[in-house]
Amino acid sequence: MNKRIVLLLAALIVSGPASAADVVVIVNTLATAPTREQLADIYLGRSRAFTPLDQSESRPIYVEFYQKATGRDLAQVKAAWSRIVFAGRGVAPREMASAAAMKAAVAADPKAIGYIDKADLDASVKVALTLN
Amino acid sequence: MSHADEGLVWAWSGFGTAGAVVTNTDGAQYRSSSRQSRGADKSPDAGVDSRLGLQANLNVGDTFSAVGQVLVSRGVDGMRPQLEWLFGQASVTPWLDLKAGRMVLPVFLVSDSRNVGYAAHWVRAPNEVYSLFPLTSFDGGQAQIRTDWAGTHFTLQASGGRSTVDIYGYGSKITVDVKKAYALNLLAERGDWTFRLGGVTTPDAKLKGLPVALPPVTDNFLGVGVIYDNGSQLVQGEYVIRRQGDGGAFDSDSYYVTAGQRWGAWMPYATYSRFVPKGDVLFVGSDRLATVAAGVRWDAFRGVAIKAQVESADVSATSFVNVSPALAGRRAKVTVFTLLADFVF
Repeated sequence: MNKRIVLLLAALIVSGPASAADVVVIVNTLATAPTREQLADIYLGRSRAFTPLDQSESRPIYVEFYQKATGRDLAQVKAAWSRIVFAGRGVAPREMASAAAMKAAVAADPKAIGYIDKADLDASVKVALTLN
Repeated sequence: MSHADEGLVWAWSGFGTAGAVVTNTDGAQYRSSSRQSRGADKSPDAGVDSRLGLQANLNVGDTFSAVGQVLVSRGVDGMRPQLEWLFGQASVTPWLDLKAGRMVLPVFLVSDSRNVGYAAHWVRAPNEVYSLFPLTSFDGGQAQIRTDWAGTHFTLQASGGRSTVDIYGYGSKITVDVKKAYALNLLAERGDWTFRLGGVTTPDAKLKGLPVALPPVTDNFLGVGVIYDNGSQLVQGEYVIRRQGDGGAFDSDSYYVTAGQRWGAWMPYATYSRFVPKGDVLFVGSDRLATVAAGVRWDAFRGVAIKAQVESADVSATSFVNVSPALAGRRAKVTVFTLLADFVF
């Protein structure tokens, strides 16, 4: 644990808080991984192939994930989802309280998809894509 | 904000716009909808675009859901709340949704998010196209089929129902009464592209309160639209044909094209929109009407976008009300300034 904190501090000093480690997209161990194109469609509300789960938008990983997965920044993602939600066409991705909660939800639902820091990965879920 | 309990999940959310419009004339008042009985002139008017929407979503398991939305905006009788939508939905299969209640009538490309300023780059959808059809919601049913084919997402909506709305023209309130409305709407989404093809027919549309009584007409709308948005560049266009059968008084072709470029939190854009009468048009004074607009969106804070737009608009009943006799007879151009903040929460 101490080693991880030291590594984290080192990463913060070297690269600053905005550019964290790799983001991994996770699915249920029984699920088939989506492609990069499908991932963008799922997280911008164009595809219902998976049920997307979200991190809090106040976390750096949120901004990093959407930038890498969809090429959109926070405001653009918010605009895209407000177009869907206030049209009554769907609900925005459910926000998970932590990486552990994200993994638990994905492990429990073959249709769920989520994303976490690579450092939080374990065997309960399957890596669908690595975004770096 | 959401709350889960025994398979019942409810969430509430909201959107709104606060801002003002001012023009360079006192001879006509600029409005954003034919529902509005007054608008902006040389005195700034905060009621043209300002609105507030509150929405509640209820999900019961994975199959049943309900959506209710109350919208406060300026209509014929001033700032009033109205029940914009209230519908129940059953997701019968992953590809079929059935809806019943009050919902949006998909007449145009962005009909379903027209009130949500935050979702768009501009201050408002162009009046030349979006003022053609004042009914926003209808009471009835809708079947929606979704399918993926060759990497493209298709959504087909078939809707039927009835609707009534009060608009303002000729100095008085006019009721648009549509006993039957049928709509087909096809969306194709692929990557950065969205295509739309849709048609609406209202076989027994009545206008009540006109100075001259008109017989009921069959009002038909056919529209195509396209959006290209790659995250940096946005191009969007729409062409709508309106025909009312024999010698339709309100026949028209309308279109717009808009483009914008994002630089970080800033997005300058420009829009050209045009209304071309094709029949004996009663509600406009001149033969061709156009608006040229330029503006900028600034994503200033989380969930808040500030926008400024300046436009040069031909005086017409689509964009103006309370037109003075001095301006009514000739082709007059009015410069319109808008400053507003769009927000979601």
